[in-house]
Amino acid sequence: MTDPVGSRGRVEGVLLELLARRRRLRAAPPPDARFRGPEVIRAGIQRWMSDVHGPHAEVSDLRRLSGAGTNELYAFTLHRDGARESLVLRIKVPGAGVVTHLGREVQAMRAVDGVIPVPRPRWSTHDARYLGAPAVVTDFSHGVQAPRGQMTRASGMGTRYPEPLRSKLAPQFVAYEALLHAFDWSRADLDTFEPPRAGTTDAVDWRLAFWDRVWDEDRIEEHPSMSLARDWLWQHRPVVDVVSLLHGDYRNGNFLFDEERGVVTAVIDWEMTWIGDRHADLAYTMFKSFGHVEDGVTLVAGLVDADRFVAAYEEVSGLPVDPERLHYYFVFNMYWSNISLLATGLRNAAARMTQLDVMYQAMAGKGVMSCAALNRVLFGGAR
Amino acid sequence: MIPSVDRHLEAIRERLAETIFPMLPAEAEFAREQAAFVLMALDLVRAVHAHAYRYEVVERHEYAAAVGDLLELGGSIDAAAPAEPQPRADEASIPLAALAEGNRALKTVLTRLFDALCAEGGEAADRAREVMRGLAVRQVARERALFASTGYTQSGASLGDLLAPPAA
Repeated sequence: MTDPVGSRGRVEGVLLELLARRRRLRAAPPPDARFRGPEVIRAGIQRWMSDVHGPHAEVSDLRRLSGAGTNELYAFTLHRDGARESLVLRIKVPGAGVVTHLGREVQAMRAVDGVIPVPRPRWSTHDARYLGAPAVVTDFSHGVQAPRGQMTRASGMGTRYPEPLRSKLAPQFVAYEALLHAFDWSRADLDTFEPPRAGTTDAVDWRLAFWDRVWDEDRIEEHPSMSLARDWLWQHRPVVDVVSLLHGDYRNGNFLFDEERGVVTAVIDWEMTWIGDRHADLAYTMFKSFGHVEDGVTLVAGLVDADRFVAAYEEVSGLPVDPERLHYYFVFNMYWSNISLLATGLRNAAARMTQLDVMYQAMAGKGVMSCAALNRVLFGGAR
Repeated sequence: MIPSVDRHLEAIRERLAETIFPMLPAEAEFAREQAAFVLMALDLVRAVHAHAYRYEVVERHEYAAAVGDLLELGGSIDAAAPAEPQPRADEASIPLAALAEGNRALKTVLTRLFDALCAEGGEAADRAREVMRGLAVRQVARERALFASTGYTQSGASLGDLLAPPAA
């Protein structure tokens, strides 16, 4: 792309630092960038917890968990002061398929703790000496990502919920998204975010500029569908009426629930959080590929049909849903998710920064389907 | 084409060597021995796949010329030498990686031109968008065929059909 970085929109300072750190890592990847064995992780978390709590703190029962997308997730027990706690360790691996900021993830979870159920962040570190990368320890949230025995795709995408579970979970799923967007973030400690102004295009300008920057740094080669999408997105930026704290990845698979009681126990995976237009989250949640069709009706996130989803959301949040902005953010979400699929994952694979290289390269096919969808949405291109 | 065939092969080799084969138990001697051959074979494929088409073109011309030489010497047999398809003598002479790199540079130039025209606006911008739309449709069609075996894409046409030259 010809535009010098930032010429169309400013990239927030902490994200520029994040990108600069990534460039340094790629220029000289540490020898263990791709793989640190369990004994290395065990030693790292033990050293970190000892530094935080003193030499008597002890870590046990470390085990790898699935479902963290492109990050590494572990459960462990911490023994200190005669007590034991079940905790979760999340490590931001250097070769992840999407660029995210640990500080933002932690601040967003702390801000909404008590408003919606989240795994409470306990300690975080940017000191790579412990685990080779920034990391956070949270409370262990009980619950499952998908009904027992169900085979799901990566990170719980496409999870289906049988009745009566679906009827119990759907209202909670909608309500938590609505409460998040109605949450008054202005008084929360969110100093890693720069506050965009309502009634302007600040929020979308900054976010688009960020994703453009990631595409420019990560793409292996240009793609006409992405060029057309980028052109269209800059031309059609909508004014943001109400500025909300967003989850960024709000869908089935990113909440835990108690299967017996049908209760959502935690909204997880806050790494994509940002401050912007609620329609970005809503359009993402409503991606057809996350839901499924039943009796001719597409269920949003496998839980509820679109009309009832929107009606319930508007009722709980008190915020209207604008179909035009929803359309804009469908395109926006396809654009950034394609950057992950067709640029960042492939760039990190080529830079030998990840053990997920074969997976990232095969999943570029998902990006191709998304380009086909972009063509169709933007100019009626062939299906 | 991203990822390139070579990048796929490299990643597969590293996952096998780093992630999968070390998990084979020490007593699985036969499996470990075969694993070593798998790595050797992958190294061979990585080293030669880019030259496979040119290799056959060179052989076709060498052997066709030699058959011609022997026919001129008065040789005569019952079988006819295969005549078609007949590649040009210089076909596939550009190394695959150099060809891909050139295409990549061309895409960058194209995108910069597109952005510049769109920034100016007007009729030229609209026509530039039309050019890009045509490209986008054709590229995505090729990519859908390329990834069809993964199940992530569906394609009504095979990659071979899509790459075939237009009928004269």
